Amino acid sequence: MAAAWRAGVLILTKCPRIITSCSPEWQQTRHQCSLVTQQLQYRVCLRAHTLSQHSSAQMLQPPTVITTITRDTTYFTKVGADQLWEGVVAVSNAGRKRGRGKRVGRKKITDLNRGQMIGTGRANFLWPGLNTPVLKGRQVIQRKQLPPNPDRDAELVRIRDEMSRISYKANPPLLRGWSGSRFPGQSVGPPDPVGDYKFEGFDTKVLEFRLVTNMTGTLGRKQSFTAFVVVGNKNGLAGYGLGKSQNGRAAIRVAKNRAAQNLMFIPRFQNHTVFHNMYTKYHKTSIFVHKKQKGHGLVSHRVISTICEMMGIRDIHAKVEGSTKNVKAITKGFFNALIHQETHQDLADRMGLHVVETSKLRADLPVVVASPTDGIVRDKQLVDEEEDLEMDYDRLYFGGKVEYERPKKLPFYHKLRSYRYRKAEDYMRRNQAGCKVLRDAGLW
Amino acid sequence: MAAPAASRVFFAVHRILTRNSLRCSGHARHLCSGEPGGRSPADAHDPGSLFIQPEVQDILWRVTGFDLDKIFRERPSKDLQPAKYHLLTEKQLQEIQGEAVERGKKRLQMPPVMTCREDVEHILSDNPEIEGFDQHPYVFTDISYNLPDRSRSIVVREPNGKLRMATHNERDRMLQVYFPVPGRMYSIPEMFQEENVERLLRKGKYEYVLDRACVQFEPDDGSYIRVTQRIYEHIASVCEYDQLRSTRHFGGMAFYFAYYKKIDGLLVDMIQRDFLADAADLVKLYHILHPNCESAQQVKVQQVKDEQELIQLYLKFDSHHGGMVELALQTYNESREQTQTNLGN
Repeated sequence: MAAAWRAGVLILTKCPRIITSCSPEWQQTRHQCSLVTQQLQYRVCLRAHTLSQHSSAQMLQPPTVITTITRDTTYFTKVGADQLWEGVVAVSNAGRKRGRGKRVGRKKITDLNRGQMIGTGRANFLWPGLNTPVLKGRQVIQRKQLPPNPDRDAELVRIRDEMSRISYKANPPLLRGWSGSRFPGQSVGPPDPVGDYKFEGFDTKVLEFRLVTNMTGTLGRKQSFTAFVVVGNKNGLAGYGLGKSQNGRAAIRVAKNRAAQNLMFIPRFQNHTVFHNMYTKYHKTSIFVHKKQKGHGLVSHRVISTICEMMGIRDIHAKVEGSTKNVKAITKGFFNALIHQETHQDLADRMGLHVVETSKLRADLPVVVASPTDGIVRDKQLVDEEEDLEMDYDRLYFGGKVEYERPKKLPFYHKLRSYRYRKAEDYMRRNQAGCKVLRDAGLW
Repeated sequence: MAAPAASRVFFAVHRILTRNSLRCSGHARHLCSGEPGGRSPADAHDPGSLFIQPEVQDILWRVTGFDLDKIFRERPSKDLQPAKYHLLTEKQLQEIQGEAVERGKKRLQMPPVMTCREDVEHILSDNPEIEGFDQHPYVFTDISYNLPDRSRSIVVREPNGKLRMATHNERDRMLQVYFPVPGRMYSIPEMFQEENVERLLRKGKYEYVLDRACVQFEPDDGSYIRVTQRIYEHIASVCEYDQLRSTRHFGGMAFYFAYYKKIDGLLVDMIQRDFLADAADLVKLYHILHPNCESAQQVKVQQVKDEQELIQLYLKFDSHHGGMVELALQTYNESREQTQTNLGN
């Protein structure tokens, strides 16, 4: 006690409920505590008395007394479980109207008694008639303590957690769709077999999955699901289909079976990309498709990428302009463009010219990929004087359309006067760095 | 500063901080002092001057072959770009193809064959009064513009006060510092260590190692000669001569075999692939490089012009594995006769 006094801090906690149940040593401590309290009062008085007599340098530090408020009773034994849980999970009426208490991560009521049986406990006893039968054959079973089960507590915790947690098993990342656990973008397996023909090597991906409603005279608002899917064998065969049903899964099944009935052959260049750049328009959706080299990958709208995966196109760049959210328009436009591609041989025949490929990978070696079948090659090239269209293979199939190029975003400070001055100064000195080297070298 | 601008000389000083950085200088030198394979050429001619003779160059150019598809074969690149397509008339196509042939010829330019360079100590001045001026040698490099690298003066002041011409190794490193060659590394890449070269040879990456050696080394560098000759020997041991055909290294390889009298394997390969004219050319090359050999004398005396006879004479007098070549020649003749009878029927 003296040590504590010297330290200048004494913590007194008034906690009779706990202390009464403590060991005799603690009772002793409690007694001392009350003594100290009396002494404290005495000493404080004493100090007040001597304050006037001593200089402040000789004064002892005053003790700091911290008190903690404790509750001597508990409501856990007085209130029922229902009321207690209400305190934890309840949502006000106003909150319920706003949709609170419906979210995924909300707290749920847990039955804490689950997993516990009468007659079983931490001390692993066999109670004949309670948790074991009294007779086993002819033998009377005696009360008996078994060795303790070390996993019991952990098992109880597991059972409780199972109730409170929402069981949500996520797909592995590669099997997930475009967003979360939603259907669009997800693979839903091959179409159902038709007769003997099993669609081996085929796969289906959902492009659109929506809840639609219809007002009927008898039923009122009638809800059903609509699924728009693409089916393909990843090797040049693909088709799309639409299915509707009251049941989501059924809608998908209908859609993929319809898609399987409408398979189309998609010509591909060297089994990895399209034959040429192209432009297509379906309603308000325009698509610019660019042929790309091996290793480029699919760089396009997610709907187009998914369709390409099903077709077996691996390298493409596509840009959708206009209505980019109309999945059906994108799909139909893209399919239309692909099935109307012109092969190199067709082009050579149409133009009466050699089609020659040059590639940086082969150091621009001219490779003749197609020549006119009749062997007659035009002497003179017909060139559109104004647009030079016929010469430019890249724009040959764009029909004069040009992609919108978003202007580069200017920095936020581009209007500041200081920045404009800086740019003007840069403009004045624009070539000086190189010139200085030449001047120093005496070459200029 | 009154000197005219054009005659100004710029010197750069490079302080070599550690002696260790000089250590690799002698690595290749002792290797190339002895002839590879333990054989010295019969004629004491300098291979470098023989190689640049026009008739030798003609033969080497002819035997290299010219397959455009192989010369411009697809090479891996980080810079991926889509292929371009052109609609061309017949005339335009011929023009563009002619250009490609010219570019192909440039690509097949042979790296020169040279004798191994030797370091000769050349002390320019000895100034013992400045001995111990620093712990490290100082290298002075003339970095004036428009000087050929081989005549650029580079000198070293040693800590003991001696001023000497830089060794070849020092020259290479200084030149790489001030005039870097794209693709060349300052220190020799690990792939040119002997065990790594062997590993690459087992994988059959002959052209890759040869190309990289061309970039990394000067053609008279001992390391270059060691690496290239090791590859030629390996190709001969596994009979994969065709890998270098239509590349810039085939001429160098053929010259190596002819110079060191090891053409039998290459001859067999040429005959088996129906390149009889090439085989005769190779024998002619052999005779140019070794004019005193028995078959060369016989050819001169008998005025032989026929390809087969030329090869037969070589087999008779100078071949080491005559049976092998003879068998190949026999098979060649038989198959030719057979095709002719087939055509006749």
